[in-house]
Amino acid sequence: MQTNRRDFLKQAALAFASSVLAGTIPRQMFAATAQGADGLTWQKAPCRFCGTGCGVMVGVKDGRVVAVQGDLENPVNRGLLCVKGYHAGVALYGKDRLTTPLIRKSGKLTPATWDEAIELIAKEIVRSPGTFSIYGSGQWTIPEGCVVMKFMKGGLGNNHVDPNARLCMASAVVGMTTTYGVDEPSGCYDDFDLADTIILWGNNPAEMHPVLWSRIIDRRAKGQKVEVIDLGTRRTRSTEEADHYIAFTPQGDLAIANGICHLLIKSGKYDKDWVTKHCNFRKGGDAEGEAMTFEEYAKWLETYTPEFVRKVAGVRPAQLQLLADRFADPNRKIVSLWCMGMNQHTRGTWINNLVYNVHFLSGKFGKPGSTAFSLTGQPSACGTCREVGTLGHALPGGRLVANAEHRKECEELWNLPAGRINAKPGHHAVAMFEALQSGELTGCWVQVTNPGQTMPNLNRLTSKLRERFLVVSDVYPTATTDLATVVLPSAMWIEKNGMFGNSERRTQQWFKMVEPPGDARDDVWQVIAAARKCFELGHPGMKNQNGEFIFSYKGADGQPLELWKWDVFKAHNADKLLFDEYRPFTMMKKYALAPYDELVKARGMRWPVVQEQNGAWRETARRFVEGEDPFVKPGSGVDFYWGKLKDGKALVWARPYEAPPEVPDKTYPFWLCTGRVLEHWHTGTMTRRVPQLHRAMPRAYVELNPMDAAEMRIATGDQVRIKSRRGEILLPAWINGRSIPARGSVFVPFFAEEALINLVTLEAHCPLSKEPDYKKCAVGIAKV
Amino acid sequence: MKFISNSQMAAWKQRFSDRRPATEYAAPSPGVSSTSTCCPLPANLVAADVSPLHPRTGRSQSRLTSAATVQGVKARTLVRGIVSPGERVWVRGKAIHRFWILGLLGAAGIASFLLAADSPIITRNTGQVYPQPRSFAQPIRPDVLGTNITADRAFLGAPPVMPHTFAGDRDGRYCLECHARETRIEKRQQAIAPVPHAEYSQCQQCHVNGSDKTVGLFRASDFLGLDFPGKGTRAHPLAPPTIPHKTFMRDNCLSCHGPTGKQRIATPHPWRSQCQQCHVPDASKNYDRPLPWEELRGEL
Repeated sequence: MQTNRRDFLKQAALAFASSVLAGTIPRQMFAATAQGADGLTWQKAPCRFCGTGCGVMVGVKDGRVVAVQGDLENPVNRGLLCVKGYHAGVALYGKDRLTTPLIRKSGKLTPATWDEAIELIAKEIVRSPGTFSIYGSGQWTIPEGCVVMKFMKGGLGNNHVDPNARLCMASAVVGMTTTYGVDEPSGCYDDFDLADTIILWGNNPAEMHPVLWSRIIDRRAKGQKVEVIDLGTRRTRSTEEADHYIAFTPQGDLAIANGICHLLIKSGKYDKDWVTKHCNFRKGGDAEGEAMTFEEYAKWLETYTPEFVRKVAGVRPAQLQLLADRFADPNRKIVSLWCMGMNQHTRGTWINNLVYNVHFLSGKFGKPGSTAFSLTGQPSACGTCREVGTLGHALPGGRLVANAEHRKECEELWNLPAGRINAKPGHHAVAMFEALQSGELTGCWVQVTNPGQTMPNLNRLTSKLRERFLVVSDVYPTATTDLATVVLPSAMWIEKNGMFGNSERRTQQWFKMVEPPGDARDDVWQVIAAARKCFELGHPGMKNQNGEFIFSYKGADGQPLELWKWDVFKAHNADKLLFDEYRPFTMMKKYALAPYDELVKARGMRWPVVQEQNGAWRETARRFVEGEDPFVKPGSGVDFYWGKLKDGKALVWARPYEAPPEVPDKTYPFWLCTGRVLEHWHTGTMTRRVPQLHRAMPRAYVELNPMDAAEMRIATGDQVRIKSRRGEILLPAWINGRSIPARGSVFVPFFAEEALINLVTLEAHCPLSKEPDYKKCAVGIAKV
Repeated sequence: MKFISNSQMAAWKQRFSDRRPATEYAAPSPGVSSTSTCCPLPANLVAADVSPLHPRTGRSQSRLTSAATVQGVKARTLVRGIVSPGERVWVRGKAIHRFWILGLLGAAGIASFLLAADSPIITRNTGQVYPQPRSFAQPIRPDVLGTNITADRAFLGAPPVMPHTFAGDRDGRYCLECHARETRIEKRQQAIAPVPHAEYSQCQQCHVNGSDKTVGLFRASDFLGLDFPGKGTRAHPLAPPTIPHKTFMRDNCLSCHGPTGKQRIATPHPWRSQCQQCHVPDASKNYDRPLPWEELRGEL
């Protein structure tokens, strides 16, 4: 589009005038005014992929993304990106972008108008509001999560909202809430720069969090000594850099953690002062448990002798001693890292608790360079799913559906009539899809995720989705749009305004930089438009306490904004309005997010963010630590102010070892582990459309141990059948490739929609966090 | 077909001798077959390397149990495994009674030379046919990935893909064994670009394999990447031109502008190592510094 100077000035003047009127910032101003001499503009955004939250600079020319660079000013990545991050801009330009709404008519998805699609959705919701559900994502922006929460929980009085983050970090959440009473980690990435020892608990950051991995390993190039201990069931690229590799049998991590605690207490080398000051002890398998004394705990630990650990975890006593020695060394700074290995675990909550135990007993917590840090897989699993609380049981800001007080606070903050929010928690992800199978739920709106490929045991959990009213908002055709009744084309990443919250509590904001293709529109708008249609159809829940539409926002001059009209929405920054509404929710649990305008200026800020006397806003590197966290009681050193017993202490849990629900047997003699690869993000719908990434990793494979492969006469490239009690698929073998699984186990990545490994996986989940275990089930292997 | 002289081989051994006793070179190389020594296969799955079939050659057994073993494998891999694609490496004149073998192989080599440069590789197991990867001395031309300026990177500033195969997908550190060099290896007539950002060690985090030309697109792409920046500006005809691109992660100008880079951007004076003494970044084209917030808002 050609724009001459006069047109530009006119537009700018118009935009400025409207900004004064509405009190919000029109979005087009940014791209228009920042053009450099070569027609190229650079703006900040967080990367769209993993939970690291790297800052990128996006280069835009003539309304299109032409380049992506690491943001030198962002303290997360300091200019470096991984291969996915560099190519994040390419992922916008797949030729098969969805550009128009599609409605299934006589079995075929046919193009439709937005009005038709929104009306169809609204009519279905109004027909049966209680059996509708929304399945979202840790890739939702924070305002997207806010709008869905208000629509479903505050509007429809329906708590059936759950994200794919349930499959990702739910165990970390319940682990943290049971250990110190509140979600989100205490430490931050700065600790990685200071630690002497990094312990990877079933984690492969070399592929999954590459920039953080570089941040750790490249310290060696500067002459610093960083010891890496890799605990795993599979040798990976991370193992290549590790000083020690400790192999364990699946589920053995529970015994290892208890074994370390046992050795620490037995040798008397635990941090007695820290334990007395900051810990209570608790036993039981559930979230409540019952109190126990330190002596009882020490006695309970006596089961976990090195011999016992060797028996159930396959770890040699010397290896266990090595770990215990590291923790016993009072001068050593230790960071534990974990991600899906511990979270996608039928005892995910327990193992999260146990790793905190190790750090508490050794006092390796809340000190610079020492922390237990749960890495997150998605860009805003923390910011949206956990903080906004887009989970069946949660309300914004760390509140719970089951808590009457919390419901009341939310109703007040949302200006809703009392009693609007349903007291019954909604379904978690697996239960939601079970309910959709059984017909208990009749409709589901899927946004920013691909459950048709990622749910475990796909046959059982998704086979009847086609019969339900399935709405899918996405940017490309996926395994889920294949099942949809209505497909809505969405704007993606920098085609809309957005905010993400990363693993270290850093909230990052960005502005829209390019127009979405065709008729694609923001997810926020889609929900508001559907809500407005429900309002027009007379759904009583769409009215607030004053009888107005729930998404009624006003500009600075008091004029109401009709955000459900696309033209109005486009001209205003709905993100700011939604975030301003959401921010007060974050104060109760002392999340204390920074104001929108501060986030616009910053390269993200780690909450709690408080205003100092001079008016400056200060972020918090380490939570619960005196001198850093503004909410800590002076003189306490470390104050777990949300501790269960309200005494500033965290809980050390006596969680036993428990065998996994399905173990290899004669018919299915192998362990199956699934996961991601460096080049592809989740189901590959974006990254496979990047030519460079697809060429580097064009197809799924099964990794076998070379010894097993030799016995079975399987060579690289051979077709292999992988069969479990639930399903089977064919894949080519890769032996001695990127990783080497332990003997008796195989690994398959899940990015390929033409080879759905989730037909094979098990839907068994952690009873506390409801997170399924994608990392272990029993399979049989045969050469085809 | 290139030959490596005994002296060259001895020099290689010398290079690695501090890591591993020379006697160990006689041991069979686990995980890397002799086939892959002479003609490396495409990486990923298609690299049908079947040698580990024997249980004793299982790599995971012998390696990584201690740091010393890791180093051993590393050296071994280098000598026997990683040669540039398309190149055949043999040791000349090793023993007189092997001459006839060499003769035969040489004849075969000449024959293959006469065939197309991209002669296919037929894998032993599956019988699948893959074209041979190019030598990385050859420039990669726009191909099926042609959504961008060249196929080796998506846009100016994107990390280039690895244009050659690489034995051992796990072992990113080994990239530096060749790419940490400053100069080309003259005897091999190979141009190896030195790393321009030595402080980063996890090479494969950004540089992924792009050598398998048989892989088409998953779906077509419309992306058009930022093009090369063109020439820098000069104050007067005799002044040194400015640097028309960002310099972050480009510490070594000779990585691209040296003898190993593309001819058209090669410096005419590679012996003058202090490039930025005369060539300074062009402020208008230097993207190192993002526009500040005030500028974005049009307040400046």
